[in-house]
This record gives sequence, C-alpha cells and structure tokens, in this order.
Amino acid sequence: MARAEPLITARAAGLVGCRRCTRVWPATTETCARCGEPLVSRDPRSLQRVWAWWIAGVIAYIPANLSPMLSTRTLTAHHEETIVGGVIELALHGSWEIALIILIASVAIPVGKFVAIAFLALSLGSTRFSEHGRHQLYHVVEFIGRWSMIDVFVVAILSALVQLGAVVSVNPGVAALTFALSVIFTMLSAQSFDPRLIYDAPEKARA
Amino acid sequence: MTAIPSPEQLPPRRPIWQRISPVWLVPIAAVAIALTVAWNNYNSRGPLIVISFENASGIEAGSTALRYRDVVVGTVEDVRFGPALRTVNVSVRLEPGVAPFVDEEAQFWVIRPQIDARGVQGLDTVLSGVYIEGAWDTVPGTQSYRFQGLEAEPVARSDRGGITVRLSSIDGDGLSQGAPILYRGIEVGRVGQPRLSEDGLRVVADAFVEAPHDALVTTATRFWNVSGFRFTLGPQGAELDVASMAALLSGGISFDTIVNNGQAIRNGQLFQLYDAEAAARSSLFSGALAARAARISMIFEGEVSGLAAGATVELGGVEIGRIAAVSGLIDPERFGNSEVRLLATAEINPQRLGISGGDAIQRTYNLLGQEVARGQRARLGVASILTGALKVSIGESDAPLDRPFDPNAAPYPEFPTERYEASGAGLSAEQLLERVASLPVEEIVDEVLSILENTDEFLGDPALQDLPEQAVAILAALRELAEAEEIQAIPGRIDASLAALQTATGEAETLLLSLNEAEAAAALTRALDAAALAADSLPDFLLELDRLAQDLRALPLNEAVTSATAALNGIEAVVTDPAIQAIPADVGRALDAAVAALEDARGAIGTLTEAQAFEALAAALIEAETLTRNAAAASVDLPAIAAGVETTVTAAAAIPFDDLSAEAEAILDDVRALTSAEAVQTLPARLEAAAASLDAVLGEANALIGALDGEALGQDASAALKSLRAAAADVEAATPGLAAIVASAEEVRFAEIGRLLEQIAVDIAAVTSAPATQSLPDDLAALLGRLDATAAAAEETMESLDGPALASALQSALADLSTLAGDLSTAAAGTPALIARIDAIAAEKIGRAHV
Repeated sequence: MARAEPLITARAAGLVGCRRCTRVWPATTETCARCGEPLVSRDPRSLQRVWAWWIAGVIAYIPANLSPMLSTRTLTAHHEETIVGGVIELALHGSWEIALIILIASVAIPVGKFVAIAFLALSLGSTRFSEHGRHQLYHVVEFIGRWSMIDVFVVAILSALVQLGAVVSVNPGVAALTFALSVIFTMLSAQSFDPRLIYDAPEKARA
Repeated sequence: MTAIPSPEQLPPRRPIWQRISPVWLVPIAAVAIALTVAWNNYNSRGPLIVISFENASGIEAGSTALRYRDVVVGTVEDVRFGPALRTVNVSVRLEPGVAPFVDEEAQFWVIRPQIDARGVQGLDTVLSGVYIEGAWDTVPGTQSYRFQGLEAEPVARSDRGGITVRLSSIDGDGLSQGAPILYRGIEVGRVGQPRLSEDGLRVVADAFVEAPHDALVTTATRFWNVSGFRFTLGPQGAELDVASMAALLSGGISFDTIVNNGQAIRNGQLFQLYDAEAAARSSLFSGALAARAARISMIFEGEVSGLAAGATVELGGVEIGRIAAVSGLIDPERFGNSEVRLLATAEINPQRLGISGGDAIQRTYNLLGQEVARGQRARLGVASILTGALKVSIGESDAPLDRPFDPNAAPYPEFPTERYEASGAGLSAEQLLERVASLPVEEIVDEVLSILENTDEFLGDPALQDLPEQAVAILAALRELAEAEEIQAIPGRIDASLAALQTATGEAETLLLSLNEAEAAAALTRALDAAALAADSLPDFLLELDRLAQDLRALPLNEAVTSATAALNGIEAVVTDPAIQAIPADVGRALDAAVAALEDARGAIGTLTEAQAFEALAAALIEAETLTRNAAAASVDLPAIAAGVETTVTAAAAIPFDDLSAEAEAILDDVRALTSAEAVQTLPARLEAAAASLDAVLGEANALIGALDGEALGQDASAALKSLRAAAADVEAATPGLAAIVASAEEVRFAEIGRLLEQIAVDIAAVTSAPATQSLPDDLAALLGRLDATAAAAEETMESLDGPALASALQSALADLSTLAGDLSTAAAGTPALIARIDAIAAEKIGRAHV
C-alpha cells in the first residue's frame, strides 16, 4: 500500500459510512436508508465507553487472579488453585505445554488486550504511530478477545464432569466468574472503540 | 453537497449527562462491589493469633483447622519459623465470635492419631489430617495474640474445673503421661508429662484432678503408685495388690485423704508420691505429721527380736502409732546390770486418739499417763506368725510399776512395759521351720527311692508278666467246664424230671376227674372258692410268668422247636402205627360190652330190693361227699402252693435259660430216641391188646353186674369209696409236704440247683439207661398180656357162672377191689413220707451245695 499520499478520510470527503452495512452516505444523512442504522461520522462517546469497559475489565481481572479458580475437594484434602498457581503447579509437574497454553490464554492475552486497548485509546491524539498499524492491532484485539474464555471453559467442563460425591469434586472458584466478566468487559471495551478515530489526529495535523 | 462540516460546526455541547456514557456505571458498580466485598471480608475476619509449636507436623497453611469442642473456629493461615528457628509459629485466623474468649488462659495443642493403653484417640484425623484443638474458659479475658502451643492435651484443661497438683517421686514409677488418677477405683484425673526437678534428684509431674473431685484433695491427702501389681510380705503377712487393667498397662496413681483435718490446697501444691498404699498411710505418722506426733519410749527386757521400725502400736486393738526407732540400751545405773535392753521409740498419733488442736501432744501424754495409772502396760505381741514380726500392744497388766509415767521426761516420756517372754506362737513359726529343717529329708528320699526300686523290680518280675496268661488259661478251663456234656445235660435231666412230674400231675388230674364224676355241687362250690383264693394270688404270679416269658423269648427256641418237631414226628410215627389205629375199634367193642353190661346191670338193679339199694346208695353218696370235702380241703392249700410256685418261678426266672434250652433240646433228643425205641413202637399194639382185654373184662363185669346183689354191691362200693377217701386224705396230707417242697425250692439258689440237678440227672440217666428200664415196655407188654389173659379167664369164668354164684364171686371180686383200693391208700399214705424224703434229700443237697 502506497504511503506517498496521505489518506483522505470519509469525513474529509463529506461522506459517512454505515457501520453495519458499510453503505456510504452523504455526511448529512441521519439514518442509513438501507439498514436503518443511525449514521454518525464519529461517535463522540466512544472513548468514554472504551475506558469505562476497560476499567471494569481491569477491576474484574484483579480478583480473577487472586481468587481460586478451581476448588478441588478430595477425600483427604481440599485444594484451591488460582490461575497463576495452577500454571506454576503444572509447570512443576512438567506439563510445560499446558502450562504455557494456560499462561498465554489466561494471562498473556488478557493483559495484552488491556495494554492494546489502552494503547489504542491513548494514541488517538498522537501521530507517532502508523494509523494503519493501529487499525490492524485493533482487529487483532477484537478477534482474539473471544479466545480468552478458554480458561473458563476448562473450569466449566471440569466442574461438570468431576463430581464423584465425597471422593473427588471440582467446583469453580470465584475467579472463574470474575475472569469471565473481565473477558466480557474487555471485549465490550474493544467493541466500543471507534477505529475511525485513529485517522482523525493525522488529518488534523495535516490540516 | 454542502460545505464540509468543520469540528467547529459540531453541534453545541450537550449537558453533561448526555455527554457521559452510561457505560460508566459498570466500572463504578464493579468498584462498589469490590469495595463491599473487601469491607465485608475485612469486617468478618477475626484476629490473627500466633501459636508457637515445637514442630508443625501435619499442620498446613490454609487447611488445618482450629477447633474448640470439635467446632471449627479458625483456620491456619500461615506456618513459619519463629526467631532463630526456635519455634514454629502457626498463624491462625480466629472466628470473630470466639475471639474475645481466646484470652491469656487459652491452651492449644495438636490432635494427632494416637494409640495408647487407654485406647485410640484422634482417629478421625487419620483422614482429615491433624487439627489444632483449643481450650479456653467461657469468660472473656485479656486478649492475647501470642500463645505457646502444647505438645499434647494438657492434664489441666482450662475449660474444665479442677485442681492441679505436683507429684514428686524419687524414681518416677507410676508417673507416666496420661496415667489415671484413681480415687477408690474411680478415675478422677490424669497425670501430665513427668519431668526432672531442677536439681535432678526427683521426678515431678503435674497431675490434674477434675472437679468436683478436686475437693477430695487436701493437705492430708496422700498419693501412691498403683501401677502394675504389688506383692508385699510384711508384718501384716503377704499381700497381693492389683489395680485396674489400665493402671496395669500405663501405670496409675491412687490417693486418699486419710485424716480429716486437711486444709484446702492451692494450685500446684507439691505432694510426695509413695510407692505403696501402706507407705502412704503410714507416712501420716512421720514426715509432715510427725512433728505433731507424741513420742514415747519403751524399754523392753528379755530376748527381743522381731521388733522393727514401722511396727504398729495398738491400744485396745486400735492402731494409734508406729515404732519410729529401735535401739539397744545399756544402763547399769538404772537397772543394776549391764544387760542390753531394747529401747523403742514410738510415735503416737493424737488424731488416732481423737485428740486434735494445738496442745494435742500434751493432752496425749496426759491420756497415756491416765492409762498407765489404770494399770496399762506396753507389751510385745506377735504381729505375724509367718515373719515373726512383733508389735506393741498396750493392755492391762499386773507388772509392777517401777517408775511413774512422766509426761515431761526427756527426751521422751517412758511408757512402762511388761517383760517379754519369747514363747508361744512368736517362736512357734521359727521352731516349726527349725523342725522342718531338721527333718531327715535325705533319708526319707532314700527310703522312698528304694521302695520305688523294689516296686519296679516286682513289676518287672517275669512271673508277674505271666499272670495275665494264666488268668486267661483259667478262664478257658472254666469255659470248658461250662461246655462239658454233663453240664449241658443237666437241663435235659431236669426236663425228664419235669415230665415225670407232669405224668404225676396228669394222674392226679385223672383222679380229680374221677372225683368230679361223683361231685356234689356244694363241694364244687367250696373247691371253686378255694380256687378263687388261689386266683387272687395269680396276678403276681402272672407278672412273674410275664418276666419268665420275656426271658424265654430271648432263648434260642429255634433249636428247641426243631427238636420238638423231631419228637412230634416220633410221636406221630407212633400214632400212625396200625395198632394205634385199631384202638378205636377195640374201644368201640369195649363200649359195646360196657353197654351190654349196663343193660345187665339195669336188669339186676330192677331185681334189687329197693330199700337195700337205696341205703347202700345213700352210704355211697355220703362217702362221695366226704371224698369231695377232702378234696376241697386239699384244694384249700392250693393258694399257698401257688404262692410257692410263684416264688419258685421268680427264682426260676433267674435261671440261665440259655443253657437250659440247650439242655431241653438234649432232652427232646432223648425223648425222640425213646419214642423211636422199638418197645415204644410196639406199645400201641400192646395197648390194643390191653384194650381188648379191658373189653373182655368189662363184658364180664357187665355179666357180673347183672348177677349182683344190690346191697352187697352198695356195701362194696362204700368200702371202695372209703378206701378212696383215705387215699384222698392221704393226698391232702401230702399237700403240705408239697408246699414244704415248694417252700424249700424257694430257698434253693438256682445257680446251685444246676449242680444238684446234674447229679439227679446223672442218676436218672443211670436209671433210664438201666436194662431194667429199657425192658420196661416189654414188661408192660407182658403185664398187659397177662391182664389180657386174666380178663379172658374172667370172661370165661363169668360165662360159666350162674346168678347166685356169680353174685358171690362178684362180691369177692369187689372185696379184692376194695383190698386193691386199700393198697392204693396205703401207697398214697406212703407218698408224704416219700415227699418228705425227697425234701430231706433236696435239703441235704442244698446244704452240701452250700458247703
């Protein structure tokens, strides 16, 4: 893609695109005549929502890591594991691969998402970063968000399967709920982000 | 297209509630929730206490619980070392509810699975893991957050009332952790961990006595060790003491409050632990209480041995003190010689005399002084025969008082004594032992050994070894004897005798039958009455018969039956003899002749003078009546006879019939042989001839009757009947003899009869085998032949006779008949004598048998 010529935004061209059906309308059009979606060139409260969801996600992420994710009760012992504790235990038992998967899915990705969303939101007013690269980052974040639920799935399946009465029983801990909430909030945060804002700052700078 | 709207052309700023996204509510709510949860958590958290343990075996952070009365009231949060690794500090988060009660008094220890003599404890912790047990009282006190954990459950739990005492022992016997403290066999407390005292000389252990039993422990309480069992041999004899099984295994401590004036103790009071109950009880007279004992001295003269410290001092049988010390005393100034005397110091316990208070000792001395004044003296007595130990008893004595009782004498008041005479039971045990020791045990053992050797030799003697064989030989000889033919033949001979008896009976029966023909109803009635009397004794008789029958049933009858069958076959052969067959014909002829004779008689009777005939007939009838009366009289004796027979049968029931049956078999064989004898075979023919002769005689009698003179006939009949009566009388006389025989037969011991019978049988056998006997049938036949000839001659004579001549001849014949009857009577009269003789012979035999 040629970078020689700066891009012209739709707003600069006097147009507005429908975010649902992608139909392009004149900038003054209020509503998409094709799908009925309200047409807004920029969502003025996008950043607010991003930050609100982001904060909620971070808040939920704290107990998700401090509280036990799995509560295992055997005949003689009662065992509770946090996410990181489980990863360490798996690693100590030699299951490096699984430990790695869980570490990536439960720690690296959520943290990465928080960082990525914060970066996107904070870098809106800056021109130091390539608009296109940030847009691609945004897509990656949005795509990968749903896969963060892998840990919650594992807990749900274990809890459903391992219920052997007094001998062994596995129950989800508090972290399972808060982790799921954290993932959901992060996804909503990513969704609330209006990627068109990425292009506003360079445009303003050029103008 | 209009102009591109610039940012400045954006709509004017809207109110803040429109510019702010409602999504902000989400993080706010999240923060609020988090804060609330955090606040709640913090609020519901109790204080964190730290318990220091020696080690933390089994304690895990996060899972090990703190329990109070088995309710979880906290969780271990952290386990870490204390400063310089001296302790393990366990941090426990308490439930806020119980926190105020966990004060300075709280105790903590770890419950682990434990097996000891008292059972299994903490079994549940095998699965669930150990937990920390806490104990504190129910009163909130000063809060504390650092505690020293205990190694095990404390003896004195702060949540239970009671009192802690310290027990001190020299060797630590009985002081083991958890050992029970018993009061009269009831467990009222426990002993804690024993430890060495600071100076290392004693073993000290805390002991806890639970409420309400703690009130039993006072300063007068004594503790002693009851672990295991104890065997003591002391002045009071041997004693075996076994405590409870648990105490046997883990040891135990018992206590008792021996006197009542003890004061309440404080926590941690030190008590001495005594080895035995006796020592504990006697300690009241020494040690702490000794200071309060009244000491007196006693000087005993004579040869005293066996008095030792600890011996009892009794007053009127009640122990009031103990001998504290015994020593010798030489005091020439006082006693005038240098003899060694025994000086005993006794401690008298005033409490035993019911004296207490500050001046108890003085009052005790006063009391003792009064006793001395009353004539009481101390004397030595035997406390134990076994050990020869002595005791001191104070009692009345007439011993002179050489020196008055001075309560203030130094060092101790002297109590007057009585001279000790080492006599009686005191020395008897010793003497007994000496006597036992002086027994010539070695010699006795030697004697016994030699006796045993002799016995051994005797038993090993070959002659003795042969003894059983000889006994066996003797038995064999005996058996041979029993199987000897002579013995075997005895029953056969008996049978022959019985047959003879039967024949006699048959004859008697015939006689009776003939009597019956002339019977009078009254006589019959009397006879029946007599028979009824006899019948009364029958049931017993029948019982005996029943027993006899049972015995008989056991006999090997088959062989007897076979023999009988053979005998019957012989008889049958006789019966089927043509000569016998001809008998009926002969009889028929004889009957014809009799009928003819009767016809003639009728004719003759018709010619008789009626009066004469009637008188003669009347006389004849009177005679007949007399005869029947005699018969009745004879039958009166029958019951007695029957009873005798019954007794005899009873005795006979005891006869070994097994052998008898064999003998009977032999007899039957003899009978068979007899019947098959040629002479017997010819008997029928002779009988026939005899019948023919009888026929002829009857015919002649017939003719004779026809010629009879009625009167003469009557007189002759009368004479004949008289003779018969005499015979009957003789029979009557004979009956007692029979009874006597039966009676003597009763006395016979049937076992011995065998031998007698054997002899008799031998005799009989000799008789039967005598040629004369063998020729008897021939003689009989000859006799019959002669009879026949006579009858024929008579017939001829009769035929040749005319009426009057016939009548006179008949008269003479009847006279002969009468003579014949007289002879019969004479013969019958001889029967009793014969019977008596038989009786005498039998008695003699019996006597010999007895000899």
